[in-house]
Amino acid sequence: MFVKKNIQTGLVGLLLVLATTSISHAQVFAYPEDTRPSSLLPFFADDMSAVRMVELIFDGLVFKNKRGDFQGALAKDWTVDPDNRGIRFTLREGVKWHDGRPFSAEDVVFTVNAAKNPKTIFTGSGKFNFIAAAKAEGRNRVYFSFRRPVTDPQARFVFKIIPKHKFNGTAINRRDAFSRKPVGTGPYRVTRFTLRQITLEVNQDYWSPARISRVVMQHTPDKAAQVNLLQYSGGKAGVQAVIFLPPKNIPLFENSDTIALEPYHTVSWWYVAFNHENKALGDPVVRNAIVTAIDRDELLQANLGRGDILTGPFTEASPFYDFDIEMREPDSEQASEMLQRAGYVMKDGVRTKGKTKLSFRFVLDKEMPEQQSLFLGIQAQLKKVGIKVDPLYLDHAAYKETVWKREKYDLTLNVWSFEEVEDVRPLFHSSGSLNFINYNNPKVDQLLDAAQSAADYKTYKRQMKALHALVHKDLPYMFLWSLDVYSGISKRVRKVFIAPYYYFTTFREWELKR
Amino acid sequence: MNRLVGFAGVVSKRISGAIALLIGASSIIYLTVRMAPGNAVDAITPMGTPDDIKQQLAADFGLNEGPVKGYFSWLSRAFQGDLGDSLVVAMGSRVVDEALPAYWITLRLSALALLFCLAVAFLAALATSHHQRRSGLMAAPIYVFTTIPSFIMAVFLIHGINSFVRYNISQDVIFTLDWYALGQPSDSIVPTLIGGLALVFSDGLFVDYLNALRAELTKLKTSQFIMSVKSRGASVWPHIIRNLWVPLVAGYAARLPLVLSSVVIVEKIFGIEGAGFLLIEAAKVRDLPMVVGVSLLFTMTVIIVDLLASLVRVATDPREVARGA
Amino acid sequence: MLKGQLGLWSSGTIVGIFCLFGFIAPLVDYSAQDAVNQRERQFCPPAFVDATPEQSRSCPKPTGSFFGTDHLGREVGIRLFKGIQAVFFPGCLAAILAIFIGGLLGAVGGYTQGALRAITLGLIRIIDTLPRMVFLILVCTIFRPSITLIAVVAGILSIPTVATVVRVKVERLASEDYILAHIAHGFRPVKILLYHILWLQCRSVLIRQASFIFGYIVFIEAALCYLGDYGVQEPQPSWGNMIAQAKSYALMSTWPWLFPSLAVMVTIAAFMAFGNVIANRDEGAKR
Repeated sequence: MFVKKNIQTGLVGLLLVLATTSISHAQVFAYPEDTRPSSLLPFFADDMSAVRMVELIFDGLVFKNKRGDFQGALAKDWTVDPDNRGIRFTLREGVKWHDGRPFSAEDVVFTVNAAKNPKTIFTGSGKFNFIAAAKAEGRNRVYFSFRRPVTDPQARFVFKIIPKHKFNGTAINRRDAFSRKPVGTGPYRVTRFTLRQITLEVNQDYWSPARISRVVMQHTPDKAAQVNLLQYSGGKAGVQAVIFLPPKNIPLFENSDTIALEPYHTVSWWYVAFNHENKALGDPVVRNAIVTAIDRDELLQANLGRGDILTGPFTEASPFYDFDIEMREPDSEQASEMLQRAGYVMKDGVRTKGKTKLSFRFVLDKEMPEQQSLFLGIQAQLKKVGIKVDPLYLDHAAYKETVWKREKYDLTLNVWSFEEVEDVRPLFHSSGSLNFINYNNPKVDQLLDAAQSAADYKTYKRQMKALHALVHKDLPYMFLWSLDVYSGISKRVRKVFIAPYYYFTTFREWELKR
Repeated sequence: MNRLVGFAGVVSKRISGAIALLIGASSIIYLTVRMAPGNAVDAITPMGTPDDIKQQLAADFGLNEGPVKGYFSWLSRAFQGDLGDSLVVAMGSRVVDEALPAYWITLRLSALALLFCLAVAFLAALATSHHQRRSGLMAAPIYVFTTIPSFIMAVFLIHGINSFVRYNISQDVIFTLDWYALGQPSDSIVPTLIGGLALVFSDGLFVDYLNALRAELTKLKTSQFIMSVKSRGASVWPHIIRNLWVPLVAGYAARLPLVLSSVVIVEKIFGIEGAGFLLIEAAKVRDLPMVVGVSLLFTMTVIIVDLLASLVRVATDPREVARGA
Repeated sequence: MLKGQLGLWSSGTIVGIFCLFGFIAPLVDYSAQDAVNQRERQFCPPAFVDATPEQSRSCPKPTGSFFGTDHLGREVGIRLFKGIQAVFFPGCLAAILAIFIGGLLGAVGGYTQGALRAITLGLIRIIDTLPRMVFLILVCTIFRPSITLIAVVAGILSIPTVATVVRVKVERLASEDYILAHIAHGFRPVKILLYHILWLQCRSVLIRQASFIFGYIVFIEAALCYLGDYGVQEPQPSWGNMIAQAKSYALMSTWPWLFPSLAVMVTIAAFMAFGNVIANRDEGAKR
């Protein structure tokens, strides 16, 4: 028996040695991601996993440091024209692309021209609109002229620079092979790109080489698996960080010796969208009743954990959030009464008014965390007031197709994430590009138009607060909550600073203690 | 001379049969794609696909032409190695460039696992061929054990290893399902080994093979010519092995489709980046050219292996020639 | 192969319970047990396991469920029971489809000569070359997956197995004296084929295959759920989606995935064994 056990131990030990030899010696920072980056070409890095990865591979002219100031990356220095109509960058010398070619001003000009080429179709193209022209002045200087005066223009030059010699012209296709074999100037270069893993090695030629020699991104769609890996490996072997810890798992790490909880700032909120094409949901009374019927606090506490319940399309940290707006208290009786008064009477357990039945199709994305239990909670709460919802669970691709493209849904649950502050115009303006709910409210349009042409920030802020009040009343969405955002990072990792949105901006300073 | 002519005839007949099969099977795959609901191109492309890519896709699949014409233009392109461009999972590269290396991993894994299965089954058959009956009491656990689906087998294996390692070796190690283990390189040999084991001892593969070999052995042992060899006092094994050769090869070829189905699941669970993994990931994001390309590769393998096995039979068994001619 | 009474009774009991539950499950209202109660009843252990102090506070013993609760606090036991409903009728559908079409094609292929035979055999061969799992995933990519669709496709893909078995049998029988005698007596070929050959002679083979196909549907539903949620969709329970969901929480609680896995395993084994036993008995009785 004893011998047998030893043999077993030996065998499994051998397997483990095989499994772990390759990682025990190198300085590896491994982290899981929910989604696979769709493209590592900076223009097309739409999903958050791609944004984070691109941050490690590419450089912009400037970056925002820990203190929130802009500091040169590829640019050494810059001077803004006195009339704020142009900026001249002096570039860092001796910078090389990962393939060994020298970096020059031509690449910067190429990047801007490619972004401004109408044949390069990408979501962030609006960020380049303010530039009228880019001109290289020798190898190490670039001059940008603007369409209109811009204050603090350097803040707009965080976009990543791509190499001219890798493209045949400025019209860049999303399907360019570069998206899987990127060549940047950043602190890391891609050495291996497979379906499950992307491996990055440190770029020794970088002007300020990173401390950690290898970064491994592993595609791990299962959030529970991510948490398990962090929890059980204790941050020693295995993964060193989980980008976003679901709030309900936070207590697992609160008194941990090995894992540190790192809060960071993101601008994102959850919502249930109403399809306003649906006749019943087009009726504000029904929307109001639905929001009144649902106990958002209970849903949040039971399924996700800590967060703030919202009254409008802004997070509580946002400058536009109006704290004077009073939250609707959940009250299913009041909701029933509202519906009754509006003429929706109970018929076979479902409220009906004429031919309109309060029976809806709730479309859910399987990749959303906790969508299933959230839906079941919502379903149970709505049933009490006589509203029936039937689920349709779709995988991510089919979800996007059904909800955003074909708009074949009545209700859906999702999250919006924003870069710095909430830009809600595309969501609620009747011509907005993200207005998949078919929302059309002249008052809201008017307000958004006025805000867009606002002369100064103060007016803009006032108008956004007015918008907050308006949508709170009219309810284009049911606004749910914003979550407390924490990363779980191994305590072996030192000098951690998580940049908002881009996450890895200062990663080259992070250290990994053995 | 006569025999050679007959031989050539049979071989050419088998090859043309295989080609006919390939055309038939690929046309089923193609028709399935054509049957996509609604506007075919919209239904099979992910959201936000630009129009030029859609047109490219429609051209790749011959969707603008009639079914018959479209099929043949698609097939001829496929034979030239052009299965279109991947839409999502390997955006920007050709399906062939991604699928072939991945397929090689899959093929190697399934062929080796099946070979291992064959060796073990052969030994087990030799060892047990003198037992005539098994009692019902014994058979029940064997049934349960051998019909266990591969993914459940894999789940049990991973959990077994986990608890074993955590209690005996190190608290710091954890393996999860779908093998998101420990940031180790994805070409690590360990998941392949365990996955291979799961492949062999699940889905009834092993027992099925064992039973077939046992039946064959029993038949041989009781056959008259073995009896006569025995009565002369010579060793019977050279004869048995010579005669077992054909059923072994035939059994191998016949079971490969089964293994190629199970391997899809095993690759997913153990995170082996073969064609099965590619297929599932592509299916998840509806990367149709990739899914169709990989399916075609799988189907082609089944046909080719079947052809090879029948050629082996023809080459080794003169009766086949007589039957075929 | 299972021989004797024991095999029959053990596998027969399981198959019988499965079929019985398949019929009565739709009549049972389980909304009370299926209610979501994450806060209080998440991962309650089964009744026969001693709960940790922490668990026993939230999972009171008198209402403690026999099979425990899952990550949403739903009863695993009642979901196991309702899960049968999800695959029972699709399983029947697939088995009927495969048996009828497969039996017919096999009989035609074995009995006739010339072009008809060549076409039938060719068709069978073509379907047989499609790797099942791969083709099912292809179908699930193109169409919106549903268990009925999966059952139909799986049934069609099972046709060659049935057809081949039947064809071999028919080929052997067609040249036998008593069939020749029937022909000589002027029985219509259709009647000979359907009654004398298919029903009287191939019955046991067909029953065995039907049983196998049923087991295969249980398997394929679970496997496709595991691979990509293609099987039965939540909130309707099926064994497959129970395993697929519980696997995420496998390290927190073993029970939610253990019971459905065991159920799948035992059911498949029982259907395999049952098919074999019945077929063997039927053949034995004839001899």
